[in-house]
Amino acid sequence: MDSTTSSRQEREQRFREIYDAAYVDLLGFVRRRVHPTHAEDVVGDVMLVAWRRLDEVPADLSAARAWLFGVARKTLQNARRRDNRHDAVAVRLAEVRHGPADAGQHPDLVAHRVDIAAAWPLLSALHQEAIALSVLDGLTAPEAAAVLGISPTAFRLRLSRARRTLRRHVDSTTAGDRLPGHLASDRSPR
Amino acid sequence: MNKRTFDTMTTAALRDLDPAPTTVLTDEELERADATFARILATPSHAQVRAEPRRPRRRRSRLLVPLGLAGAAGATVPALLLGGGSAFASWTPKPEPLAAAAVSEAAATCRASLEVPDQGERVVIAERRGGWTYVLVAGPKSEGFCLMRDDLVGHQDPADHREEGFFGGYTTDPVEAPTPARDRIVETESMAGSVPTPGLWLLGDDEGWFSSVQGYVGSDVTGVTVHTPVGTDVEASVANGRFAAWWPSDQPSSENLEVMGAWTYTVTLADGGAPRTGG
Repeated sequence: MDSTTSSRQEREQRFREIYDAAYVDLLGFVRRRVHPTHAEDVVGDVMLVAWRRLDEVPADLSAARAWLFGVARKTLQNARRRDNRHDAVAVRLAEVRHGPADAGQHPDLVAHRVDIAAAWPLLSALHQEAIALSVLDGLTAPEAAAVLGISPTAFRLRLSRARRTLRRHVDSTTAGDRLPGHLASDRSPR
Repeated sequence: MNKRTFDTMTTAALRDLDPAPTTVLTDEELERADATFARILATPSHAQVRAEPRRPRRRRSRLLVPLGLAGAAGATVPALLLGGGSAFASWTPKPEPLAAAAVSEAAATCRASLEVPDQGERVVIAERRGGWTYVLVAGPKSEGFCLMRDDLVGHQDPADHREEGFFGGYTTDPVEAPTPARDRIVETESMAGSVPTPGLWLLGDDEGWFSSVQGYVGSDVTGVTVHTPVGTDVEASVANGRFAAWWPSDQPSSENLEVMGAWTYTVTLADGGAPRTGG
């Protein structure tokens, strides 16, 4: 028998573990960054890389997930035009939807959501990415730093700048130009 | 709004606006995830490289009955026309032998990359086609081969070879050496494989697919030509009673059945007579 036969089973088992543990999160990570119709294909590509480079995938599942996010990010960078390869990968947010769910929420929170949605596109991809990794993708600072290939300290700094910039955009877009009653009508259940 | 409240509310707002809120997969998504998993396992990984045999993986001492007619193998066919992507653009149908120093370096790199102990194998075939070096090492208890980009030869840290430009296989149960008649050959191994190439990670885009064959030659055989299903003729390396050849191909799939087709051989004999077909 091939010397690789027994390790083949171990490799498959390990890959299965990673696949099952990280698939949903990886799909979410990719869906935040590409058109949803492409997301599963990208996830497949990333998982193929993981299979090919299984020895490099961290043993800890949470770290493995961050590793996969890093590969996904590179995949998305590489899929773009060559000259943009090293840019940050922008993150999209869902459209603001108003519906019955708003009714049970604090009006300030509903209003803030509208503000954030308006301010988000004004952020640079670099800042979108830092905030999304921490808030939406659920990574710790060291994990997010690993995804971006920077030090945890550099990531914390970037994140804090990103939050400050977001706040500045929110403040400037909401300073006095919101019509009274506008939000009240927007958030009424339909 | 103070900073803390702002941050808390921003976190809540962002989660509300998450285009991919954490959910469980739908049945359809789950089905596709499972299909992707199966598809990935069907591709070779570096530690298990003999995937996707297109024929029975090993045929012991089966004599071939080639059908091809004698033909010159000299025509240069751009590898791009043959498949294999740009990875093998420099490929040549005629192999170049390696200098002695390059042979031992290639063998050492191959062994290091496959992470196998030295079990007294010796180099039986070593050749170069364009920018690619191929080496076949064989011993009584083991056999292995590597196809690698020339610039990887001499880098013996296995980690250097994991990502791209390297393909290798190793077995501790080699085919028992057949004894072909003096004017015949016996093919012992054939396979399709792919080499990951740098830069692009997307599935299928930048895999250098190739086919390879190995076997034994009879005592009078001095040359072996492979008539490939992709239409080109490939001159095999013949040395130490063995032959080996590889050529750029395409990913075997239902959409390009031709790459999965059979190939045939023509052998050249030492007596200088006309090349004859037949195994």
